[in-house]
Formats: sequence, C-alpha cells, structure tokens
Amino acid sequence: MNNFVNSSSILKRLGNHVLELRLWKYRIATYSIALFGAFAIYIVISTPLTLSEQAVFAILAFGIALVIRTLPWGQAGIILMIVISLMMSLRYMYWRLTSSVDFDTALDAFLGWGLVLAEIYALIVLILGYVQTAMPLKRNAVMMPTDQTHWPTVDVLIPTYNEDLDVVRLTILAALSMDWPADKLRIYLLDDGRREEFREFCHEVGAIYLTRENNHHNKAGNLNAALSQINGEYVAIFDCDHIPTRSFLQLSMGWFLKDPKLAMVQTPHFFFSPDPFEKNLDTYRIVPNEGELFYGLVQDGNDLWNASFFCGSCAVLKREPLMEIGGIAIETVTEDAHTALKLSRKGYNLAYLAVPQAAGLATESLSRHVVQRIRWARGMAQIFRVDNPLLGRGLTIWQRLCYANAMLHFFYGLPRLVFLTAPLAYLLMGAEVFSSTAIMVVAYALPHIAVASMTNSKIQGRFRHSFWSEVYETALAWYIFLPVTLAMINPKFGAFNATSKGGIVEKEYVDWKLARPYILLLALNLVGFLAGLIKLATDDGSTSTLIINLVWVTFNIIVISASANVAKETRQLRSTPRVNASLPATILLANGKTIVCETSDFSRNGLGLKPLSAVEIPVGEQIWVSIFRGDKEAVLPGTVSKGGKSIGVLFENLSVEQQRELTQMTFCRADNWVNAWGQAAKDAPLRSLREVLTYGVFNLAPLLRDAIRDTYLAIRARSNRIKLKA
Amino acid sequence: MVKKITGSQKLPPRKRIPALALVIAMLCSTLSANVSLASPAVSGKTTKEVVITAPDQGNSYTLSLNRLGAANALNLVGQDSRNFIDFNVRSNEVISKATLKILYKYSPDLLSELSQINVYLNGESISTIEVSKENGNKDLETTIAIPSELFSDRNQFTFQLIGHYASDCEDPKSTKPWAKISNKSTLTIHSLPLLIPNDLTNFPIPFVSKYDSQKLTLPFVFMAKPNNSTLEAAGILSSWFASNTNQLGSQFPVTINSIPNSGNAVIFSNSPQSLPGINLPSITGPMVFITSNPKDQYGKLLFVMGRDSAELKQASIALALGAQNLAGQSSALIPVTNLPIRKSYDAPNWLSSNGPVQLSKLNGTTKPPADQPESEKSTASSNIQIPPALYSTNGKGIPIHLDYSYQNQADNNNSVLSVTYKSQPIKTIPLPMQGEWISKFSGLIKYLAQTIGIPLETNSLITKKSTVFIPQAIIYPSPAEKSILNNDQTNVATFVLTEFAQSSRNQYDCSSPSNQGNIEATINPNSTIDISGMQHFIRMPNLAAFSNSGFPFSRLADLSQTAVVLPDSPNLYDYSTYLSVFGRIGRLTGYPGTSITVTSIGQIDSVKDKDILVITSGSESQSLLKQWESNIPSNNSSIFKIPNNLKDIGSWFNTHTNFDIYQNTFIAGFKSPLESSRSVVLISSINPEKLIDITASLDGSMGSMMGSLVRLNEGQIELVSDQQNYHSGSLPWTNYLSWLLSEYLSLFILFSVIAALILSLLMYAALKAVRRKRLQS
Repeated sequence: MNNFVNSSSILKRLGNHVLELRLWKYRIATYSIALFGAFAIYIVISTPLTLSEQAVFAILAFGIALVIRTLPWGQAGIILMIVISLMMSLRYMYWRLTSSVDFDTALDAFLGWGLVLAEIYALIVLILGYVQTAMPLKRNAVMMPTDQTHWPTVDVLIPTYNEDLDVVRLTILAALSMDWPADKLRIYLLDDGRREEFREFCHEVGAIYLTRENNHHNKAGNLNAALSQINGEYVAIFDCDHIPTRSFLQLSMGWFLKDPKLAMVQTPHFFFSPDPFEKNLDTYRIVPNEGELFYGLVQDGNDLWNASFFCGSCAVLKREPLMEIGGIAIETVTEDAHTALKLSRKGYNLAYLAVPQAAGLATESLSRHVVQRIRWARGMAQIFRVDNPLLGRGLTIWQRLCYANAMLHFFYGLPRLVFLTAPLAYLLMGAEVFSSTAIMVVAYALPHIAVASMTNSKIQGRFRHSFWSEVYETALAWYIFLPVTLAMINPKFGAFNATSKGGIVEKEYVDWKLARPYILLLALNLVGFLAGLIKLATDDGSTSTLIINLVWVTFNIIVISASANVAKETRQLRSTPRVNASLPATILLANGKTIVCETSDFSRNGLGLKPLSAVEIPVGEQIWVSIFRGDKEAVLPGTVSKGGKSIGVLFENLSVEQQRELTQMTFCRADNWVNAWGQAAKDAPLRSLREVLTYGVFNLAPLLRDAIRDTYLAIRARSNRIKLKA
Repeated sequence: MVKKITGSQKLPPRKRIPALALVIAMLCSTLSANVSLASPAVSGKTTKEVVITAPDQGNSYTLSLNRLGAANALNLVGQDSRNFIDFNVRSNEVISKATLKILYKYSPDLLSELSQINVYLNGESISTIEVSKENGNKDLETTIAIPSELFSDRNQFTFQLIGHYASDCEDPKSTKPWAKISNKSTLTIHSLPLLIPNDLTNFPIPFVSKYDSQKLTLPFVFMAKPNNSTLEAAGILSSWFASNTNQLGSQFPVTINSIPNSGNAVIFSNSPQSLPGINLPSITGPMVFITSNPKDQYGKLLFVMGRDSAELKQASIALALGAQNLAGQSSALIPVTNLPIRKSYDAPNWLSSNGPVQLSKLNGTTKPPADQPESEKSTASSNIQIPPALYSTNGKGIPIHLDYSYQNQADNNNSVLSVTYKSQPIKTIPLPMQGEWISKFSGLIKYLAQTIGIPLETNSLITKKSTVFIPQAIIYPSPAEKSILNNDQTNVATFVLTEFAQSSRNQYDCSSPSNQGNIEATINPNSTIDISGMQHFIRMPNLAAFSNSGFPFSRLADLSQTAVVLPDSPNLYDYSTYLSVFGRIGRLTGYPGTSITVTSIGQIDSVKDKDILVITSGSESQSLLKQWESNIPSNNSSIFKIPNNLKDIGSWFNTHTNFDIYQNTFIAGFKSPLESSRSVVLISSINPEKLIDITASLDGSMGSMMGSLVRLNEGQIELVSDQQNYHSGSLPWTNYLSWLLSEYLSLFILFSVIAALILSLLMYAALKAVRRKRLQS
C-alpha cells in the first residue's frame, strides 16, 4: 500500500513537471495537443469492441476510477475521473446511437427514442455539470480597509408581503446590528402588505418603512419601487426571513473594492430548520439537503466561469449596474437568476462567497417546498424562452454553458419520469427499447452509470450524497414537469406563488394530494415487478433482459418509495425552530443567586440552558438570563418553561431594545453558521445506497398500508356524506 | 435441396405452435449465383437417343436425405403439410431399381382413420403410410420400392402429411398433427450406364453436370511429365470443370500416359503420340476431341490438344471461357487473345460489391411460382455468396435491406419473421398487425359497422422495411467463436415466418371463421443486400478464408495474382492436389483460373510478387520446409496479448510447442518471406498419399479449418496455431487505428489511458489558469 501511495505521488509529481514544461507557453503546441486529445477521445468512444473486450475495458476503467477516488490528488484526481467518466459515457452514447436504436415496431421506436432522448438529456446535464464543478473557485473574503471613511454606503432592502411580524422583526433587528458605519447603512423594510404594525415597528427600531401603491411584479416590483427611492452605492437584499449576521457586510463588501467591474456578491442561503426532506425522512444534518449542492459546489463552480447566480437574498449588488439593466428583472418569476444573467450580458462580474453569513427558515412542508421549486423551475424555463443564455450578446461560452445548465437542470421532470417508467415498457408491454442484447446493454451502460456516479460522488463529497439526488428529483419530477413544459410553450402560462414560511404541523399526516402521482408510479412499478417475476418463472422472454429490467424496476421502486415518504409529514410543534449553540450564559434567580450555564440552543424567543452544576428551578419562575459575546453582555428577563438538567427559558414581552440585544447575542453572531456549513459526512456511495434502500424498503409497506387505509376512509367518509344528505 | 419447410424446427419446442414457414435458402456454394458468365450453357435437357444398356454393368449407391440437401429432419405440421427433396439422375446413367427407406415419427394425437403420410415422386403417389395411435411418437421405419419408370433427369420427392386430431372441430393452426421424416432416411439407387455418342454438342456433359448427385471424380491424364505450361492448362480446366459441378465438390486424380480402366478422363496431349485403341486426329492447333474410353465403352475421353504446351494452354482457356461452337467429335478452338480483366473480389459467384444487389436479381426466387400448391405460397429462395475479407468499419456487418409484406390479420399479433445465417439467429422481426384495437372490441365494432354499413377491411397487406445485419463474426467465425457456432458449413441464410398462436387462444373456436386464415409473408423482390460500403480487410493468416473462399488466391478470380509452386520433381499426388485445390477455388468463384502461374521451387523467386500456394510432399518437401521453417507458424506462442475473447484465456497458457513440420500432413498460412504484402499457403505432407486428405478436408467434412496452421490427423482437422500476425487489404487510417485498437485490447487500453492523461493534464492546466486569473481580478 505504501509503495502504491509512493508511486501515485511520483505520478502526481510527474504531472506537475509536465505542467511546468515550456511547451504550454506556445499556443500552437497546446492547441495541437488538445486536438490530438480530442481525436484520441473520438477514437476511444467510436472503436467497436466485442462484448468481452468491452467488459474488460469497462472493468478496468471502473477499477482505475475506484483507485483514483482514494488518492490524495485533489482537483487533479477529480479531473482525471471526469475524463474517464466522459470516455465511458460518450462511448456508451455512441454505441447507443449507432447500435441500439434499430427498432422493429412503432411502439418500440416511440418508447425507445423517448428513452434515448431522456438519456441524451441526462448526458448533456452530466457534461455541463462537469463543466460547472470541475474546479470550484473557492474565493476567500477580502478584508475591508481599516480606514472606514472610504467604506461605501449600503442600503439593506428587506421585502415582505404576508409574513408574520415575529419573523420579520428578527431580520430587521439583525440587519440593524450589522457591523458597518451607522451613517453609511440604511435598513429598508419594503412592505407589500402595507401593515400598520410593521410601520410602527420600523419607526421604533430605526428602519425605514417603504410601501407602494400596487403589488405589480411581486418581489421584483417591490424591490424596483424601493430602488427608485434610494441612493446608496450598494444594495444588500434579504428575504424577510433571512437573518444576517453582524459580519455580513464586512465580509462580502471587500471584493467590490478590489474589482471595480464586480456587480454582485452572493453568499449561501443557510437554513437552521430542516426542509421537508430532512424533516420527513429524518436526515437533518446527516444527509446534505437539496440546497447544499447548489451553494456548496455549483455556485462555487459557476464562480470560476464568472457565472454565479443572484439568488434573491443574502446578496449585495452594486446599485449603478443594477439600474443600468433596469433594476431587478421582471420578465420572469425567477427575477434573481435573470438579473444575474442581465448583469453578465453587460459585462459585469459576479462573485460568490461561500461563507454563510445569513440564515433562514426552510420551507416546512412538502407542499410549500413543491410550490417553491415549481416557481424556480417555471422561472428558469421562462428565462430559457425569453432570454436564452445560449443566444444573445455579451456572454462567454462558459457563462452560456453554466447558465444553460442551471436552466436545463430544471427540465429533469420528464426525463426522470421516463427513467422511472422505462423498464415497464418491456415488463408490461413487451416493447424492446434497446435493439441490442441485454448483456451488451449492461456492458456499455453499467460503466457509464457507475463511473459517472463515482465521479459525481467524488466531486460532490460533503454536499450531496449518492442516490439522494434520485430521491430529491423523483419527489419533484412530476410537479415541475408540467409548469416547465407550459412555460416552454408560453412563458406567460402559470401564476406566481409566494412561499411563506413559519408554521406548524400539528399532526402527522400524509399529503395524499401530493403523493398521489408517486403512489401511482409505485403501483405501476410494483405491477411491472410482479409481471417480470411471472415472466421469469414461466420463462417468457429473454432471461437476461428480464433480470436487467427487474433490477431497474427494483431500484425505481425503492427511490419512488423513499420519495413518496416525503409526503408523510411528521409533527412539527415548535413554530420557532431552535439553533444548537454553546454560548456562555448565567442565570440570575430572583433570590439573587447566579448559576453559570452554557446554552444548548436558542430560538427567537427562547433559550435552552445547561447549568454547569445541578440546580432545581421550578417551572414558571421569573429569572434573568445573561448571555455573553466577548466582553459584551445582554441581560434579559425570562420565564422558566422547563426545569431539570436542561432548562428551558421563554422570553415574553421583551422590549425592543432587549429583543435587539437577544438577536445580537444569538442570531447575529458571525460564526453561527460557518461551523454548521457543509459538515455532513463525506459521501460514501455504498452507505448512501444503504440509506436510500432502508428508507425505500422499510417505508414501502407502511406507505402502502396508509394509502389503502386513507383511501378506504375517504370512500367511507364520502358515502357517509351521501347518506347524510339523503 | 429443401425448397420449403413447413413447420417450426427453428423454434424451441415450447413455442412450436406455428403454421407456416417461409424459407429463402441462400446457398453460398456451387449453385452459381449468376449463370451469365462466359461458360457454355449447362443444360439439363439431355438427349438420350441411344439406349443401349448393359445389364451386367450395374452401379449401385445409397444417398441419405441429408446428402440430398435436408439439413434437418423434414417437419410436417398441420392438416395438410408438405415437404420436398430434389434428386437428380446423372446424364449417363439410367435407373433400374430404387428403394427409399423412410425413418419417421408422428404425433400420437393423429386419428388413424383420417390421417396418413403420403409419399410422391414427381407427383405420382408411391406410398401411403398409415398411422396408428399406438405407434405415435415412436421411431418407425418403412422401405418403399420405387418403380424405375417414374424417374426422369430431375426428380422431386414430396412428403405430405394429412393430419387430423379431431373429427369435428379443429384449429387449423394447431401443431397437434405432426410428423417428422428423418434426414437419415436413405435412397438407394441401382443404375445402368448409358451409351452415348462421341459428340461435343452437349459438352461439358457427360464429363460434368450441376445436377449430379455425387462428387465429381475426373482423372486428368498427361501424355508425359507435364511442364509448367501444361500444368497451367490443366489447372485452368480443373477449375472450370469444378465450377460446373454441384456443391459436393470434385477431385482430379492424375496419371501419366495411362488412361483409367473405366469412366471419363481428360487427356492433355501436345504430341502426335497416341494411346492404344484410339485414333487421334492430327493436331492442327488448339483443339478438343472426344472418344470412348477403349477400356470402358460407357466412359468418354476428352482430348485437349495443341502442337505445343502453349497451344494446349490456349485450348484450355478457349474451352474454359466458352463462346466456342463445339460440335461433332472434334473441334478446333479459336485462341482467346484478350483475356477479360478481372477486378478484385469480382468473382461471378460472389455478391457484387458495386452497390445494393436486389435479392430478386440473385439466382433463386423471392416469390413462389404461381402454380405451387396453396401451402407453398410463402416459399422463396435466393442464392448468395459473400466474398471473403469483407470488413465492416462500423462493426455491424453486412446489411440486408428487407422489404417484406404480410397479411394484416388484426386478431393475430404474434407472428415474427426470423432471419438466420449459418443456423445462427440474426434477427427476429415482429410482424405487428394494424388495427389491433379493433379486434379488441371486434364484436361491438363489427356490429356497429354492419349496422351503418361500413365494410371492415382488416385483411389488407402490410408492407414494411427493415434492415438486418449479418454480423461479421457469423460470416467469418474466428477460432474463438468456432466453439459457439455449430459449424454449419452450408452458409444458408433463412427467413422464417413463424406465427405464434395467441396465448389467450387456448381453445380454438370453430364457430368464428375469422381465425382460420394463416398469415403469409413475402420477401419483396426489391429487398437488397449491400456490401458496397464495406472495406476489404482481413487478419491473416486465415485458413478459414482459404478453405471457405480460396482467399487470398481467389481475390482475382482469374488467379492472375496466384502462383503455384510445386517441387522440382513433383509426384502424381502433388499434381492432383494442385488440380483439386484450384478445382475447389474455381467452384467457389465460378470462374476458371485462366491466368494462373505454375512454377517449381527452384524458380520460386520469379513469382515473389504473387500470392503463393506451395504443395510439397515426401522427401521433396524437406528442403523448402527447412528454408521457411522460421516462417511457418508451427506453435502458438504469440506475443503477449490480452485475449479478445474471455474464452481465449485458456489459449494464453496453452502453447503447442512440439509440432514437427517434417513429420506431418498440414496446411499452413503465413506472410510471404519473399514479399511482405503477399501471402503463402503451404500444403505439405511427409506421406504423398495423405495429400488426398488435404483436398478432402477443404470442404469442411473433417471439421472446420481455421487459424494459421492445421494438421490432418486420422481424418480430423486439428488446429495447431491460430496466430494471426499480419493483415491483408487496407482501411482508411482512422478505421485502421480503430481496427488496431479493437484487435489488440491492450493497445486500446494503453491508448485510452494516454488519451485520458493528456486530456486531464490539459484540462487541469487550463482550469488552474482560469482560476488564477479569476482570483487576481
């Protein structure tokens, strides 16, 4: 093993030596080598091999990828894996298109070409994904100069529409607490709900309250209305439930001073509550959630190509370029992405800083999550239609590819549904969607899938676990398929849905309305599975073809089952999610006794405290709690809501000043989110497979049981109603 | 030759529920694809004016049905099903007595009072075999004496099953009535020779006829030890005679100055010297002369004559290229001055590579003659011979663009057209019916249609196109694939229509007449096979190509790039082997080797720019073998190479080391030591008599010949070496690179690794540069 590592490092050194050759200085040399490489790849993908040769080749490629995966070669190893993956995948596609599409019947041809198109889509997204993520930029924050006189003025815009004041209050207080010269920082609340209590609150805390006469163009319109009334050099935008830390501006503004063409800095969206997947599948902080891949990897990868996105919140934009493009884009429902695209077209730079400097609440139920994703998908499809990044002026080819992939990504609905039903074509209808022998399909497709998965697992590491993409995409595929299709037909189809957050789920229930398509898919796949078993038992059809389709359908059943379980909403009683944190604190009892504690968690109106020595405090007792940050201290009056080893304290009726102090001591701490960011375990594909399998298999029976029970109950309820009417 | 197979022997027994089968037999063998070549028309019409028979000179032989062309047992399935076997009588004999021994078996379901098996010869019933329940499924045997007067020159046996399993309601598509006639059944013929006049009008009859049922054995006689030119003349004629034989092949024993005691012979004479009992005309130039064998009045002698050996060769060429008016007992031959120029791979028997070839243009029929009985409507046949050394650059093989029609029967959606080649399945094309949904609601729809008076046309013809590819591995099986293929030497491609009964239709409904028609399919005449886009490229040495196609010699059909090298003092076996080998090549190409060169080992350097066939035997062989010892691939220890097939792994370790080239009878192929772009095939035996085995082995009866060196041992071919270390033909360079990589997997892997490393380095360097630039901005 040692020898092996030694020789691998020798290889690495050799590679570095090659890279330092003078040869690369000559363009012509570089181009000819690139040309040769491209030609070589063409030969590799187009050379026909016999079954056994292909099998040997595939096993070797897989083996090599498996070894590279473990080597400490960093990005070089990733790129080598990408190249191997491209070889196997393109080789598969070349074979697929030249040797397996000679269909016999119209049905075969229809279903077969459908599958081929879905596969082409998947391959394009795979390749574009590699372009995006091969070399994440990983930029560091640039420190602001110590002389504050040159610091620019920043207007913070917080748009709101129908959210609770409890939610918005925290954001405003946190924004007010940001470390920035007070004369250069203005906080604006843009209330499309035109609510008096909001106005009063703003007045009280020193934020500026803005409204407008109409609600045209929703959030984008709201922001544009405000932009016309302000004059700071920079605009920071936060959704009303995204609480910034105090260091937000200091960290994100530095790059603007370094790069005068920079028009936007985006920071990650961090969520301190579980999203419906995490909640309902119970994977919070264990399996990276859906968004982590985007903010952890894709945005950083996009940044290499100067194509990172504006995500609508937790970002700073330069006002002048923004006004030059006419403010926030209003043509589509994803105004943020479109705004970034427009800035790019004008030649401005965009940056992404992967330091979480704000946090918010995740959507708490699947239905809301679905609505949000539908909006994104629809918006992306709209941009693809009205301002296609592949066309038009002002973009580099790489920006075009990155933007295009961001949009193409949302077209996964139909292809995913195709993959989820493809084996049924053979099992239920006897259609041959590959005009080749089953074993040949395996010899070509397996290395394509396996090496690509392994490569993505290596690239995505902590930000996405293998097979979970399947679950996330499957759960949403049905819902985004239709809006995307409609938006592609006509960008105006469909309406905007705001995602409101903060709420409770009182009782565990299954959202059947959402789960229905998946129950149907599941049922179809189960029928297909049974049909396959029967065919196998009665020796009807090619055994190898049957086995391959059965394996495929089994995988589909597991993935669909896991996805459908997301619709089973678990209880969420606490409407104010808690954030785990160990902060120094003391309790001052009414009798004057002080107890030194550490916090275990905090929320916007409460604290969990762990006394260092055992103490008994009765529930309901009024106490004072001190929280410390460095040499600063906040003293707050609270009520004990829970006694024992961990004490719960509830803050009610805090004054505005006290609320501000609590926020500064808790949510505004600069290091709050950094430590929790990207901390999921590194991907281990087999473990992930086991996890998904576990969710899929163990939840299959209860899911079906619930489905049958609830259907029965619904029918009985209906017949009862009919009886009552009669 | 089997014209048609009714039934389903190609199917697994479980699915044997078909009704009709359509076979196009593409015989890639003697039956020449194109009779328009420049040879005298070989007519089946023989004049038999003289019928003097000699009862004491009877001849008797036994032929199995397999020998007569039935590759498998003859299956008879259905209520009225027939199968056919052709049999031809030699033109110089008449049948005195014949018996047919039938080995058969039939279904135990047959009702004895309604069922029987009929045997016909040329339409006349010769036997009716009764069936009985208790003998069902047993191996039975019966012998029929056939009246000799029923035979003509070309005959056809018909086997008919009248099969019923129920007296009232029967499913016409049921496979319950079946019978099998084993192809081991035999026909025993007692024949008497015919005395025929000494007339060349019907030449080459009686020396050779395509309709002979036996292998041609035609002695060649030289008046003295032949020189090279005389040998070339003999080679031209042996290849021409052989090209006019049937597929059973030919051999040419050689004698010097002595005629055989019986039968026919060809005598080469360039001197006025005659033979006892024969009055030769004086030689005035190239000419032929026919006379009876003085030792056997039924035998004929053909004298090919010239004043010198050059004229002898002119006579042979003139005879072989035809277009001469031959009549009477002797004919002068006009020398052919301009020999036709042949192009590579243009042998008349081979599929043209000039473009798509319509199956209908090939010898045979794709549509049955109209006067065939009802059950034979789907019969079709086509003869194709695929040239050697074809290389499919896309790896798919030879495309056949099928255009086929079948009847639309909405309630019958389980029919397939299966295509096989050399008994290997190539493709199964489903024959989906249109308007299937109508049948699902047929009752309702029909009712509605009848009520409003719309005619329902569901039995129209569906015409479709489909391209099937004959994979290269099946056309030219490699040694590794030999074991998987069942060594089918007949090169028959078949198109079989199989109709599966619908699984739902377990019970046949006699009350619904719509189910009764059998589906029929036709391969339309504009179906084509196309090898024009293919390259000619082949791994060498390749004894399979040599034995199956005469490659590399047959590349130019007139053998103008071929030299035969004989020992300095050859023996009669050497001569005979030479004539028989080129007889075989002539039969394969359908063209006489008019430009062949013969030389001796001493002069071998004069033919170094040709492909060389060396024949040596006995002590004469030693010196040449010693000279070329290092070139002969006598062991299998090739350079280290990852096997192309997992089954080859055994051959990694399996190296024959002790093959003694001096003590064996063998054929070896190798790159010419004289000229690297040329090939040598060496036929050698320590024992000259064993050379006969070599010629016999070429037809595949001793196992398939493959690889680079095979040994003949006790009538069996043994593969000694399958080393292939060069190639013949050329490819565009990108394809050549692909070929090289796919041939040598290790090379391919190395190439891929290098490509991957180069690209990774480039990408890594480029991305690093982008990142640096980005962070500096």
